[in-house]
Amino acid sequence: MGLTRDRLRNLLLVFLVLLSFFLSYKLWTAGRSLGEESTSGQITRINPSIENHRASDVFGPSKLALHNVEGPDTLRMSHTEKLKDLWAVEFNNENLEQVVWTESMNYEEYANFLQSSSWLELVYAEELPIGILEQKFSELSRETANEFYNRVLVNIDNQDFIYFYNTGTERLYAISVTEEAEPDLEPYLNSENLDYVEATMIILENNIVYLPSEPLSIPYKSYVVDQLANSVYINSFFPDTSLVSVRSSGSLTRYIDLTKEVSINDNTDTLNYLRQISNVGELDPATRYIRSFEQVNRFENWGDTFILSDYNRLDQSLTFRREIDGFPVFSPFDYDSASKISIVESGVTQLKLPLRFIQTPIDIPDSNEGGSAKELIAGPDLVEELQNNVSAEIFAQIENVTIGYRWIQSEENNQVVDFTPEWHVLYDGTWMTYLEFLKMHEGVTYGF
Amino acid sequence: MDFKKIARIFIWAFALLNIYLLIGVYERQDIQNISSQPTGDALTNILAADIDLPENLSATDIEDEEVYSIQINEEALLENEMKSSDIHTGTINAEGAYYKSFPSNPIVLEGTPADGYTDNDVKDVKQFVLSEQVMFGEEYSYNRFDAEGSRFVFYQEIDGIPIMDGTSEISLFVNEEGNVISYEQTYAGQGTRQGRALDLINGTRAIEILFLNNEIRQGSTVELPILTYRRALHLEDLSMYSPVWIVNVDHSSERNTFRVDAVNGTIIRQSTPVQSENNGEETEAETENEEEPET
Repeated sequence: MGLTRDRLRNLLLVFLVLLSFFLSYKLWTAGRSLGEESTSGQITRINPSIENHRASDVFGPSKLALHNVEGPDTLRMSHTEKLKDLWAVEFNNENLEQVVWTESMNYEEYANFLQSSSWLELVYAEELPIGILEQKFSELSRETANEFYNRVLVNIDNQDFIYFYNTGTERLYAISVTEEAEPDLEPYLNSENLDYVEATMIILENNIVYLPSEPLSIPYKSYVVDQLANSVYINSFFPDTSLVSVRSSGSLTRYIDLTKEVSINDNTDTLNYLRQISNVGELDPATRYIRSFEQVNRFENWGDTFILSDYNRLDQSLTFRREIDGFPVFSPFDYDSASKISIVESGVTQLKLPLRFIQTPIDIPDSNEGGSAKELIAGPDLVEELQNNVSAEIFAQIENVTIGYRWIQSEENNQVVDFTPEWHVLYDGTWMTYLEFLKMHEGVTYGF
Repeated sequence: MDFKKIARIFIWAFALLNIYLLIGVYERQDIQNISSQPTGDALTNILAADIDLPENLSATDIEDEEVYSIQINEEALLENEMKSSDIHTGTINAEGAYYKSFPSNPIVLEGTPADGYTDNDVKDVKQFVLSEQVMFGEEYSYNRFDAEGSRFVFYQEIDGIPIMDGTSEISLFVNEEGNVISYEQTYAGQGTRQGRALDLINGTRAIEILFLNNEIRQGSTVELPILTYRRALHLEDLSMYSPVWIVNVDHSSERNTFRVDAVNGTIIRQSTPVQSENNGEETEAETENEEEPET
């Protein structure tokens, strides 16, 4: 009898212990089904974004160049803004077969290759894995899919092959095109629709850039600045805010639960998301790119396009830069102009997001002394000025040069932002206006 | 050590722990049920809360309509128009944005504020607004007779959407006999579309957002939401107007007017610009106290 009571007591204890484990698990997972993150760690809650951006825009070319199309030794370039819809169709159009051959090709050889015939060249802001175009290939090995490219060449006279090139690895890939599915080049060559300008090829130490040969007039822009309430983002990251601890310090508000932290800085109008994930897993480059875009797209309310602008191989983070009419946007420390994301196989580990965005343009008549547009100096003149004012060593470290819009807060009203076109220089991983660049390196030319 | 005693203590401890955990699980599932209610259920809950909705809510579905943000440049049009003609003998405020006039001959109407007005009366006041005595009258549309304010109200329309924030309206005031004796006018100006067509929430969604944010009480009656323009930005040289749903909610004898941003669903806690009776200066409470909706 005593033995039976002991056994019952033990069984009851075991049952209660097991029940406590079960209930703890239920408590842990309750609310997860609608929560911010599924078991895969992907953010799956309602999107704060009211905009929908296309992968084809984000991973599309930023410039077009026509080599020897309008005569020998001619080079013309254009922005791709007006080709976005066409590219959206082309992005998913299966018309490539496979990589037939690859070879190393340095810049000089590449320049000669371009001179050898008439080419349409698509120029990308950052290198992309070939796997991002997997849907266009009938056959693509995993190894090739993980190779990167940032230029695409299409021969004007013969489209049996198209070529991918990477200015970083200096490698060329020849890809066979499906018969009877050759690309229609007419929209790309139509100079009535595209604002082609005469261009000059500049070979930098680690890049080949095309810059307009003549001064260029670019319009000023003004927009209404919008911003959603912080609660929209917080509710998205934390489905159950009762578990969130809120800590405020000055302009910084931190929302913390057991696994993640979201901090919102009211001074910089940025959001930072951090999550510790121990099991990082492996991600192939194309999946990393696509998933990163999908996550940023859930939060990005920018009324125009944004584009992949940087892939940091060290921390494997991707930066997406906002654009206006195809021109990249720059702001101090990129607080208002770029999103940065790091993901691993099981989810997002880091996300930096600008909270202010534009959707509604404003026509402010004669807002600038120079009129409604600003004339920027020609590309070769810019390069000459850079060469004359900085040392060869510093000039050699210039990674890229482009025209972009600079975000300037309106003095009249904080709900308005003005965008001024400027030449920008990428130096040591940071974009700055060329005047800032010159100021920074003043007096360090050779001979001083 | 008495194992039986320890076991008893553990049993009690785990029993209490399990009760605590059970309550926790129950509460969290409750939270989940509330916050995961899909949009479709919100309407059911609204009806369950004894809230009367208008029958033709589907009329607020505006998927096929192209609505834009509107820019209007400040050009003192009322002032210029007034100076260019001898007809307009009223007074205009210093900013040139508010005009007040006492027509020499009152408009005699059949009805009175107490008894109401006939269709003929409305036709007469519409004709007056369209006449040359009223500046830019053709851009305004008749909205209602406001018994409380003893006035006929007209709003300027852009792309068929009225500006209902007080920055572009005509009020025809009636005396006790029911005749129009004076009128006041504000005029925003010619609007130009900006940007691309906006994706708007429909009126039903605006009501849902108000309900989910506890703005609509049990037993209320909700009127059909009206899509309007509201001045969202006012600079020295120009103003920007964006679409807003106006939702009137009656509860007992009380009436509340809510404004919901038609683009992002934000509930706008902002007074509309009010014209001062004496000098017409706007006493605009641009508090920008906006509240994001709970979705």
